[in-house]
Amino acid sequence: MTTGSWAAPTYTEQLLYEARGDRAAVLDALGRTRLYVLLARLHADAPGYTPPLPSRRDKAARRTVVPVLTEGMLPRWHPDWVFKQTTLDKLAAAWPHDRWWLAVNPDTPCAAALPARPSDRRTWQEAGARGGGPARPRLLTHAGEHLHGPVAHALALGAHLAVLNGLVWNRLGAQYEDYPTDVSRLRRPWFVHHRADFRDKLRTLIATRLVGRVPESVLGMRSRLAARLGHTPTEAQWTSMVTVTCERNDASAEESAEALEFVRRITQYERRFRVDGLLPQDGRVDTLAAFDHGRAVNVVRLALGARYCDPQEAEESLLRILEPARRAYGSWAEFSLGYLLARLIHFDEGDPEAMYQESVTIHRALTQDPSSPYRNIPWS
Amino acid sequence: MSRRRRPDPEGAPWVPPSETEQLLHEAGVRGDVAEQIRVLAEAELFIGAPKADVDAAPDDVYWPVQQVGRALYVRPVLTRGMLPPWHPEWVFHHVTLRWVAEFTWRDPRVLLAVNGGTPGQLLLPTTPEDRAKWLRVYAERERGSGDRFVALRHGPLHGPLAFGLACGTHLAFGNGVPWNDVGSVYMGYTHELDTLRDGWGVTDRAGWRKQLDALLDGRNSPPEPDFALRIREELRVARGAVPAPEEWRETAAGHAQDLGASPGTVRHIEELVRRIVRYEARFRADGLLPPDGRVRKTVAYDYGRAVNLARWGLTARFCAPPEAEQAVVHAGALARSAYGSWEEYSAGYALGRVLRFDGEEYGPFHEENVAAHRVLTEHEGSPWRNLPWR
Repeated sequence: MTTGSWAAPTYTEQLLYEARGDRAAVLDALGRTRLYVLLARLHADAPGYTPPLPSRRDKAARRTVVPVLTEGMLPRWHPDWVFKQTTLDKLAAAWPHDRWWLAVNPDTPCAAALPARPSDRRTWQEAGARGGGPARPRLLTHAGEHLHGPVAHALALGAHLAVLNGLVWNRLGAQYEDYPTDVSRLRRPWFVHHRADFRDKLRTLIATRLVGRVPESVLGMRSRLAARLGHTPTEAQWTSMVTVTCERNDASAEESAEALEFVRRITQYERRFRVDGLLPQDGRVDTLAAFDHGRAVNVVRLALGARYCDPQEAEESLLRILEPARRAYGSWAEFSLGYLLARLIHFDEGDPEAMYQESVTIHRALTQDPSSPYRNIPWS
Repeated sequence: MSRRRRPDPEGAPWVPPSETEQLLHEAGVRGDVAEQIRVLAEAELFIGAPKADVDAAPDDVYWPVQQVGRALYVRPVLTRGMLPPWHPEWVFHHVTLRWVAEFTWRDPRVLLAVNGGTPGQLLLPTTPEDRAKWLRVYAERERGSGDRFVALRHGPLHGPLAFGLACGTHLAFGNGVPWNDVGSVYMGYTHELDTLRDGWGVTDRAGWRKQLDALLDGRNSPPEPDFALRIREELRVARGAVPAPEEWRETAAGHAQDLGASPGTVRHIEELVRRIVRYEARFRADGLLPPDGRVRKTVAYDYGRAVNLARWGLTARFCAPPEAEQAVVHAGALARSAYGSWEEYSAGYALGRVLRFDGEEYGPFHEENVAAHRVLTEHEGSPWRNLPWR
């Protein structure tokens, strides 16, 4: 069977396409991917209701199948139809009928049909355990979605989080992760419960009001000092400027101590960045705005997934994030490093080393992978 | 005209107490249930409970089914305008339509009664499908809960109590609660207990009274801003013209030195004068001040908060209505003698607030001030347009 010029939308469908006819390879691919089940929004919204798996009659093959889709094959956004993610493992555990088949991406070049007798379902569970579920962190690009232009640029601002979660970075589609997850992510940690909240949160993030005021203000002091001196100030110069400014503003002892603590931590992280080759010897981070702009993109994609806005509003919202982000930095590398530093100084409680390694891996993937938007979309 | 007028069957018709009930009623007359749900999604909903029960378990909402007819079972909620008068032992939880939709409704025959037993009564079925629809409408809600001008038809509209309440309208607007209410609830019983504890360190009546007195005495805000502003007024009277910023700054610093202030405090006063000059320029640009306007005092910020603290104390059951009303009237009288107009009062409030919390970021504190000032000076129902300052 040939497919002519068909190109797989993401790596997942590529794997499935290559595995055609080889059940073991298909299982192997499915064990490592998210699978999506269609759901009426009314059913998804009904409190306490778990709808059964959808099924339909495949007349040609004379059997009943449960259709599921992989992430690259999802249809366009629709207000009344949503998707819920599942895995091979979970499907095996909740399978309704021994004689039904699982139909992955039916009627497409990367279709796969699997019988689901109890013995088959055991192999699903084995494949799921082997694959370890959806990979993350991972840079996943959808070949048929935004790759160039302003919308792609804006989506790429949110790529850190997409890579962290192993989700497609360049899609304004049927959902971000899946409908229930998108709704609950917006509730926590974002406290966004409806459309008005979403718009409010977006405004706050575009104005970079959620990154810490104290680290942002000490970075601002350093960049003003650098402009005056003509070079990056030493830690001692920076410290003394922060001390003097705190005194002049009548800051309390705790406030000054907090500011100086940030100077110390930022200096420490930047030193480490230089050792690890992430920051040039004379480079420095001047603002953490990237963190709010990157998260703003994420909030827009979640809001589209939760149906708090439609694709047009999502696109317009993304474009509103783009300009301030471009003004704040001079390149993708600077933007990405600003994001990295902000994430570290805000969230490195607990296990700082693991957090550092994970964040740096994402930064490297985005700045070095030849397929990364940071290497394919010009910054300005 | 007269031909259209129908004879009134039974005296005066029912007048909805606020906008929410009005919209519910109008939608009901049209039989437009979808619109009623939309109104409820944007409304504040309240569930009554005995104070002792809530104090024992503040995070739990016990919401029992009531039998109101032969085969009619309901769970009741009230909208803002239908709240009963204040009672010491009966308090209210503040909930949203989303919360109501996600509540565990085991028996699908039980209805949701909005304002049950009143002329504005509305009964809604509560099957999972209905509640899924409520959730959808709630998700599509276009308005946040804050930055909203709300008034009660049966609240004080004239006289000293209304005047005092109007001095607290900045915060009432920001919180989206009625400006003219000294009643059962500000936002919600537990909400106010939390606000008072976390924001004010107040957990009992004595603590509440102490904070209230400090506000009424203008002692809550730091004294430096009004010190600096007073010097500018003295200079203006002496010179017959508003002094230049440098002169003002030097005079203020000199006065502070004469009073024995430390060099640090003197530097702080100088910085404060510069800061006020910058804020006033921004206020003029944003319409908080007229082009040649300036702020004479910031004590408005204390008086405005006193009005709200009085209402919070009433909601938290730290005092009874007469004491809260007295404090509100008192704050209003103090404000009236300190300022010359609503606009001046509002600019003083705004400056007091940003000097305290904004740190020259022109962030949310400033934006809220501007939003409140605009709406309250322009809304035709605003007390600032209907209550004369003198």
